[in-house]
Amino acid sequence: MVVAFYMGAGMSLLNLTNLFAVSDEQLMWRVRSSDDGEAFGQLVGKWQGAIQRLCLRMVGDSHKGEDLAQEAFAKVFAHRKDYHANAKFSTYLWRVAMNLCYDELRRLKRRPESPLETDGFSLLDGLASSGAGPDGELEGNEQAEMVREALQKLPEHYRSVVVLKHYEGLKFREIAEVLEIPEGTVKSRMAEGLDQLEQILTRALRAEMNPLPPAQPRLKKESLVL
Amino acid sequence: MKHPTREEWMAFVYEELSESESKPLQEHLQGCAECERSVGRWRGTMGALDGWKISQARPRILAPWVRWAAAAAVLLVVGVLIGQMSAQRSFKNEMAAESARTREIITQFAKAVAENRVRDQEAYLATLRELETQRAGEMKAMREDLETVAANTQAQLGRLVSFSGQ
Repeated sequence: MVVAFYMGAGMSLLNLTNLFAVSDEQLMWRVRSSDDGEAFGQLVGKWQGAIQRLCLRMVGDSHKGEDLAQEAFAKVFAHRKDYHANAKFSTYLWRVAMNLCYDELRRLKRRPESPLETDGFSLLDGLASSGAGPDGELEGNEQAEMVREALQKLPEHYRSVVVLKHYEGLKFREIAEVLEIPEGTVKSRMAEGLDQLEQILTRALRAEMNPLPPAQPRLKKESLVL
Repeated sequence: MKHPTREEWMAFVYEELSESESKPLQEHLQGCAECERSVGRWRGTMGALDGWKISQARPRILAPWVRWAAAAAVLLVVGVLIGQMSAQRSFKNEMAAESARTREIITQFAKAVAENRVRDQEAYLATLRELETQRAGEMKAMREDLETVAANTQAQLGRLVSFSGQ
C-alpha cells in the first residue's frame, strides 16, 4: 500500500513536470521573439547529439560532421525570424542539417579532397562497446568502417532515408515531411537503399575474405618467344 | 498469390504497423518463401547497419555556446530581479545596456559563424573565453553592488521598523 502511494505520488509529480515542460516549439518561439540565449542553449543541448550523428553518417567524416552540425545550429539561430511557430521544430532542424549535408556532398564532388585533407573516419567513433577482448574490438571497428564506406557508396537520396530511419528512428511520415517527398517514396527508397547496401556490403566482405594478389608486371611480347 | 508491396514490408520490418495491420503480413510470410527471403535479407542488412555505433557526440564549440548562452541568460535574469528589488535607476540602466550588448553579441556571433562556415574556430573559442572572463568579472562586480544594495535596504528597513515602533 505504501509502495502504491509513492508510485502514485511519483506519477502525479511526473504529470505535473510534463505539464510545465517547455516544448521545442515554445523554446524556439522565445529565441525568435526575444533572442533568448538560454532557450537556444536548451535546444542545442537537446539536439546536438542527433544532428552530429546525422551529419557524420551523411558525409562519412566525424570532424566535417561536427562542423556541419555547428553550422546547422548557427543557421537556425541566424534565421530565427524565419521560423514559423506552426512548424515542428525537429522537422525544421533535420531539414536544415540535411540540406547542409547535401551542399557539402555536392561541394566534395566538385572538388574532391586529397587524402591528407580529410582525416576520414575516427575509429574511436566506431567503437562498439561490446566489452570484447582486443580481437573483438578490432572486428567491431572493421565492421563499423565497412558500414561507413558502404553508406558513402549509397546514392544520397537513399542514404538520407536510411540514416533518418535506421539510425535516428524517425517515422516514415516524419521523414517524408523532412525531405518533402511522399511517404510511399520514402518507403520505396528505404527498400532500395537496403537492397543496394546488401550488395555493397556483400562485395566488401568478399573482398575482405579474398584479397586480390598484388598486380603482376605485364610481360613484354618478345619474352614469350621460346 | 498477391504479395505485399515493398512499401508495406518496410513498415512491417520497422514495426510501424499496428497489430491488426501486421497480422496479414506475418501470415503471408509463413506461406511465402520468396517474401520470407526478402524480409530475411532486409533484416540481415539492418543488423549489419547496427554495427556502426557512434559514441557520445563530442561537444566542441557547442559546449561553450551553451555555457555562454546560459551565462548571458543568467545576466538577463539577474537584471530583471535587480530591477524589481532596487529603485536605483542607474543600476537598471546598466543592466538594460548589458542585455542589449549581449543580444548584439549573440547576433554578431551567429552571423560570423554562418558566414565563415566555422573555419576559424580557434579565434571564436578565444573570443568566447575572453567574453566569459569579462562576464565573470562583471558578474562579480554586480554581485558586490547587489550586496551593497541589500545591506542599505536592510539598514533602511531596520530604521523604519524602529521608527514605527516608537
